[in-house]
Order: sequence, then C-alpha cells, then structure tokens
Amino acid sequence: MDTNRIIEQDFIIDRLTNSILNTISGDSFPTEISILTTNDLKNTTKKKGWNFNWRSEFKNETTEQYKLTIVNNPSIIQGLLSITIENDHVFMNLLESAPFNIGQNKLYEGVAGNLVAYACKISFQKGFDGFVAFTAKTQLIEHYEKTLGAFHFKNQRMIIDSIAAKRLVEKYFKTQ
Amino acid sequence: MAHIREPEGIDFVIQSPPLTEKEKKEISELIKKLKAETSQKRFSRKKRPKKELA
Repeated sequence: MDTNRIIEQDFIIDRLTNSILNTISGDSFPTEISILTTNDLKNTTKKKGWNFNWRSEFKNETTEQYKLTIVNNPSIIQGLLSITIENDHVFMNLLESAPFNIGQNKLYEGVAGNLVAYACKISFQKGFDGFVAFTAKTQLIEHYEKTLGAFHFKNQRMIIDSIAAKRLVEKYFKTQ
Repeated sequence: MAHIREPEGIDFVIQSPPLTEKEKKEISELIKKLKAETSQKRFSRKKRPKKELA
C-alpha cells in the first residue's frame, strides 16, 4: 500500500495556469497545483509556522493532499489542501495558506480561493457537478458565503453548489 | 486572471472534522434537492413559449 502511495505521489497530476497576486508589487504570478510529496513535508511543519499537522494528514490514505506553488518555483509552497472524495461531492478536510501568506503582511493574495476553486474543479472532473462541502469557523461563515458563494446548511457545515463552483472555476481557470 | 481576495484582516482557513454517516446522508439529500431545483429551473426556462418573450 505504501509503495503505491509513494509512486502516485511522484506524479504531478495537474499543471493549471492560474495565479496569485503579490501584495507588494501588485504583480500576478502563475501557479500550479500538484500532489504533496514526502519531500515537501519537511517544509510544512508546525516549527516552520504551519498550523496543521500535514505529516499526519499525509499518512491518512482516505485523503488527498495538494500543494499550490508558483510556476518555476516549486520548492516554495504557497498553500495546502486536503480533500476526501465522497460518493457525490468533494469534502475539504484542511486548507491552509503558507505562514508568509497569512495576516496583514501576507505576501500573496488569492491562495485560499485558488485552492477552493481547485477542489471545485476536481468535483466537476469526478462527475459531482462541482459540489464541495467543508466546515467553516463561525466567524468565517459569512465571508465564505460572500466570497465563495458557499451555502451554509447546518451547524458550521457549508456547501458550494454547482453554480458557485462554476463561477469559482471560471474565475481561476478561465484560460484553460 | 481573477483572484478571490480575502477580506481585510481575514485569513481563510478550513479545518473540517470528519463527516459522520448521518451528515453524509444529509449532504447527499441536500445535493439531490439542489440538483432537482436547478434542473427544474432549466426545464421551466426552456419551456417558456417564444410568444411570451415577444
């Protein structure tokens, strides 16, 4: 099982020319999303400022982890996403921007939206019509409704429906 | 290319506890309902006679 996993992780499954915005220069940088590998884990630790335990998530074989990087700069991870493929939707377990992309002095903007749009894209590819579910912190529910078009349905659970998903995918991957 | 800008002072972070079987069923039912509503809207749009638009 482990061998299979390592082999799979060596593939770059997608090279999407979406982008993120440098908050200092205002320049847009093209990005790509690929599968998180064992080598990446040493740079995504709590010691290096990441909030979640990505090593532990990586070991969970029911989930898939993706990293967002700038094209031609694959060693610097801008953000991470963990998803589970459910029967009829994609479930986002974890999503986190890199420590330098958090707070008032964040270096790049659009990392989280980019990764959410990617989850929607996977949902379309899997035949789920773009449906994506996740849990939001109470204080972020309203923001997710406004910016992502997510639908708050129970407790802190939220859903991105086909229409919102299509909008997000078109916003980020329009030129594909 | 467009970007989704986080509101000022807000960082989007997601940490979802695993779904229970009950929640999975609820989500599936909601998805079915939303899909049905969407297809119904499409159907009623297509069915509108051209004369009404004129």
